[in-house]
This record gives sequence, C-alpha cells and structure tokens, in this order.
Amino acid sequence: MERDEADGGLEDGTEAGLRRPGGGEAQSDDLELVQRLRDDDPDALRVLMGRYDRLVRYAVFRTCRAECTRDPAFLDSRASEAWTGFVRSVQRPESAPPANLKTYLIQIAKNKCADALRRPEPAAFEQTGSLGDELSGVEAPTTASVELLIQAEEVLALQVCIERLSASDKRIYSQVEHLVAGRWKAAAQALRMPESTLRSRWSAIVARLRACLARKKPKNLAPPPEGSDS
Amino acid sequence: MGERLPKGENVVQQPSHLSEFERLMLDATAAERAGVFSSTPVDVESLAGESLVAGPARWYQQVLMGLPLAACIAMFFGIATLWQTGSGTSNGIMNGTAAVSTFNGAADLPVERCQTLDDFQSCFKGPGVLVDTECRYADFDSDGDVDLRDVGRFQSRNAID
Repeated sequence: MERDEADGGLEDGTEAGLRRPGGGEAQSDDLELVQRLRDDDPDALRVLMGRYDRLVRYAVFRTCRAECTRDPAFLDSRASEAWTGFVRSVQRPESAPPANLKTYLIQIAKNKCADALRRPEPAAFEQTGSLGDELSGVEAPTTASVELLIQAEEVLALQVCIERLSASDKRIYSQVEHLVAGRWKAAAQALRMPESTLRSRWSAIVARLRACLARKKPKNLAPPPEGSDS
Repeated sequence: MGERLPKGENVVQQPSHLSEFERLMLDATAAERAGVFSSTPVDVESLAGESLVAGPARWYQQVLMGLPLAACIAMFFGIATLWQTGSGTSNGIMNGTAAVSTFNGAADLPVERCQTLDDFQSCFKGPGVLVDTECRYADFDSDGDVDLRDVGRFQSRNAID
C-alpha cells in the first residue's frame, strides 16, 4: 500500500493555498503579513501569494470559467490584476486590514473578473486602475463568496491529494472524465489496460483520494498515525 | 455589491447522476487544465515596493529629503555671511587702512587699491589668469592669480577683522 504523503508538511495547507478555516493563529499571522505588506515588504507578499494564489486563481476560474477555458492568458491576467488590486487596497493608509483575508481576496478576484467581462474586447486585458471599483464590496463578502471559498478549499485540497498520487495512478486519473461517466472501454483503450484492471485500480485511487481529502478537512486536523496508508 | 455576473453565467452543467465527490474530481481536473494551479506572474518586488500613496518616509528617505534643505540653509548663511563681511569690511576699511596692508604682508602695495570689496572683485580674474602688480595685494596665496582660494582668504580675514 502506498503511503499518502499528502499529509506530510501539508497540514496547514500552505502549499495548496489553504489555511485552516477559523484558525486563530493562521488569521493573526495573515494580519501580520498584511501589516508588513503595508510597509512595502515584498517577502510578506511572497508568503501571502504562496498561501493564497491558488485560491485567487480558483475564484477567477469559477467566476469566468468559460473565458478561462477559451483563453489561457485570461486567468493569469485576472489573477495578476487581483493581486495588484489587493496590494493597492491594503496599502491605502485609510484602509483597515481585512477581517477575513480569504473572502477578501475572493471578492477582489471576482470583481476583476466581472470588470473584464464588462469591458469592450480591445481593452479586455488592460489594467483598469479603478481602485474604488475593485474594492467595492470586499468588506462585506457575500454568501456566494463564502460558498466559493468552501468549494475552493475542497478542490484545492483534492488537488494536493491528486498531486501526491503515483505516476501510474496519475496516468489513470487523467481519464477521469471517462471514468466518472462509466465509459470504461474508452478509458481502458486510451490507457491500453484491461478493463477489469482499470476498474479495480480506479476504485483504489478513488478510495485513496477520499481518505486523503477526509484527513484534510478541518474537522480532522490531527496528523495521521505513523505509517498509515491512504 | 458582491455578485456582478448575471445568474446562470459560467455555470457548467455536469451529469446529474454524479456523486459529490465525482463532481469535485471533475472540477479539480477542469481547474488544473485551465491553469488554476500554476503561479500567477507577478513582479513581487516592484508590486510590494510601489506604494501608490504617500506613506511615512523611512530614515534614508528623510535623510535624502533633508540634504537639499541643508544645502539651502548653508547657502543662505553663506550669502548672509558674505553680505555682512562685504559691507562690514568695506566700512571698516574705509575708516582705517592699516589692517588692509597686512592682508598679504605686502605693505609696499598701494593700500588704497584694496580698501573695498569692489576693489577686490575688480581684481578677481579666476584661476590661472595672471594679474598685474596692481592686484598683487589680492593674491593671498601668491600663485599669480586671484581666484576663489584668494576670495576665501579675503573673506576669512575680513570676518576675523
């Protein structure tokens, strides 16, 4: 059995852009980083981006899914704008530190995405520089932002689990669309693998991913027992 | 203002028979293919360092801002000193010429020629320009010309006087 390495060094979810929801220590750490960012500390921004870049990018993806799929540069542009908007907003002297950094970032990302969709085509990838506009609504995150955050945390945690799969399991996982749709034959042909073997290995992969994801949920943050299998 | 998109936009339909976990897997896969798990290209150094608003100046910024101010103050006092020296010396020398003849020890020079700042200025030709004997009194360092070095000595001596 394969040891699930996803838990090693990932309990705080930093590599996945995740933080423990409601974790007081994490939140105060975030605020400290925001404060350092207000003082033009690039390292603070680097740490924050390491934690939350995936979250921002996922928020852009979920908000403008069609555009992100159509144009690979769209996601990069919106995420970059979101981070620029975030830095500008926190560095304003009159702005208070965000109460919830994650929903704050999600809201900025969503606003950037909505701005881009409203823009006429030629200017679609230009920086707006509309400071007030990008900040509107971020102080009072909507229910949708909170829901998006919950979804993002699940997806990002699952992605960490997927990244920890072995190379051969990842190869099988690449046929996930066929597999979840029950198109076993097509998947087996693509993988050049007997269908029965594929079925068995797929159920093992799903079980492994489920177990990994369950360990990453906030209700169970304790490290797994030594030597436990996924 | 939170939601700006029309309802229904960017919603991807997935087969209804899928379990929640299967939807999650498809969502993660779509996100991965769209590049969600890549890094955003941001120039962190310039972005974090470019405060768009005026914040409190750091110590080195304060020093740099203070330098021109210090130069202005020094220039002001320099001009004021020169002004006082010029007018004071002129008056003093006009009243008594004995001290003037000792400027460069050349007592045999015509003292009436160096009684005023104006006289000194008339002899000021700059470095490397040789002056004739009438202006030797102003050549304090005896290098043949009357330059800023001589002006400095003239100024300090008159200030002392």
